[in-house]
Amino acid sequence: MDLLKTLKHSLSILRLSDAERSAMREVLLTRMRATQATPNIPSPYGGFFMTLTFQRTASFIAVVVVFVSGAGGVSLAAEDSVPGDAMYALKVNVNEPLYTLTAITPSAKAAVATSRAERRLEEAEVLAARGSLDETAVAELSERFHDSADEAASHIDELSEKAPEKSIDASVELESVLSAHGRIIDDIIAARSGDTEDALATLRVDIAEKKEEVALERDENDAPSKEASEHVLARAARDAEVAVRDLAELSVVLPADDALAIDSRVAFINEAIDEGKAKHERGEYQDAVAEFARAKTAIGVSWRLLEAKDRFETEEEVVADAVVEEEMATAPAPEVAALSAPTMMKAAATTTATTTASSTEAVVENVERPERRSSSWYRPIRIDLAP
Amino acid sequence: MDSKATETAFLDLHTRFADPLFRHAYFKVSDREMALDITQESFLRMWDYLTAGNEVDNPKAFLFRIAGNLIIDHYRKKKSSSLESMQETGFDPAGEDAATITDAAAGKEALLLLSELPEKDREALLMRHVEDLSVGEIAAISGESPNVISVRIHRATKKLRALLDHGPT
Repeated sequence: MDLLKTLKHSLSILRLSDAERSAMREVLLTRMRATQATPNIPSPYGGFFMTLTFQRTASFIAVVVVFVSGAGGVSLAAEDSVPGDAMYALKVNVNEPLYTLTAITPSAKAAVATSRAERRLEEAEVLAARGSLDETAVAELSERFHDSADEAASHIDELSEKAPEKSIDASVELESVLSAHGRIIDDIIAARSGDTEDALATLRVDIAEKKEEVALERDENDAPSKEASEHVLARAARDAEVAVRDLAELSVVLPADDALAIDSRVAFINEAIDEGKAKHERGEYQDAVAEFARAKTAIGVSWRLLEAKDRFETEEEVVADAVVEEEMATAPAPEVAALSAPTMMKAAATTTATTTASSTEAVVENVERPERRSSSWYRPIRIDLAP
Repeated sequence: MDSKATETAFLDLHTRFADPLFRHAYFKVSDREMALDITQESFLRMWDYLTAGNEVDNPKAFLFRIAGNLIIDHYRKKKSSSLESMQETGFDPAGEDAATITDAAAGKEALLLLSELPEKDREALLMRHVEDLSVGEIAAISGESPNVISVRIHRATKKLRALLDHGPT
């Protein structure tokens, strides 16, 4: 049974007992009869269009929800740190080795190493977006990225003889990470110039080389067996089914250009799966696996681009808010352009921290906000979703 | 609509949405009685909202949103973790027949895996795949963009599959 169906079945037994249901209905009936009103009761099937309207309205309403969690601690706080932060050493020297210890099998080890490589690239992107990626940070991140990517490649190689189908899965995952972050860094380079652009260019070359190596090594392995091809087909088809459904649903509510790009991605994924199936049927297993890998890479890249898009748009709003706060705090309006990037980000962080600290409950505000404008140094990063 | 038809229509909403709403609350507060109270209060508040002359187009999303606010109220009054403590206190289904007990064991296993997911990712996954809310509905309930919700669902599904392959940490 499919994982999600199993999950649904397992949890569906959590329900009201007959007695609880009856008692609750009695309470409702009592309230209904006490009010003697006959309001319009909505249809239970009501609507998607309402949701869209609600969504648009919600964009004008700040809904701040902070769940108080008993869990957490120093290690979790370090998870979002980047080079230069006090907690970064804890992240890479304590947290990540712990994750590595929990990975027993070669495929789990490959997954953890791939994730570590991706984290280094994400950190470079965050610093670059903030305008604070310098040569020292790039050198450190680049070295760590290489170490993790090489470690992942070594586990993938180890798997290629014992479990070729798992080796293919792990290799495709690593390729997705490299493809996606190559694209994201291209978009950052397009929005930044000077030192940041130079620093990123070196990393971009590293990523491209590593990606080529990964794809080459996969192709050089022995031709996959029928069983390996079937396994990869099953996983690719399952992932594609879920991704195509969710991406198609997402495209309905995205702006037109993004929706078009997502629709093209969906078509691309479907096409690769169909091609792969046809080649598998013809016994062309090597080519079939290449098509499934193409589909899975496209799925992985799609989600990573969407995630990055959200990350940068959120950051953009935080920076814009910081500019407004700064302007409101000092009169006459300050020379926004004179603020340095780190100062801006510090202001942004303060704004976020204040919001979080004062919002231990759901707060619904409908406040008319001052017009937003970005500072002169900050150029928004636009993630291109097109395939 | 006469009063009898109104009652029937509202109770029909209760029949359809009480269980998903109860599950949603139970995952957050780990207390059956409290989850029942939140479920009941959500329906009562929706009734009051309707009788005040307001209209609701999507009752399921509306109820989840009310329940979300009530859950936050609960957190304010009594700080407690959710899934973690639920694993300790036990999975608390209604009924004690053999099939239910077997399912409860599976449910506890599922909870163990779910507890490995970040809270927001887990919540989005449960709303989508257990409660069958659409991405648009979840976005409306949580105040996030559909893009964020889709990414969270995808990430949670992927992590859950990886946990199944390799076991929880």
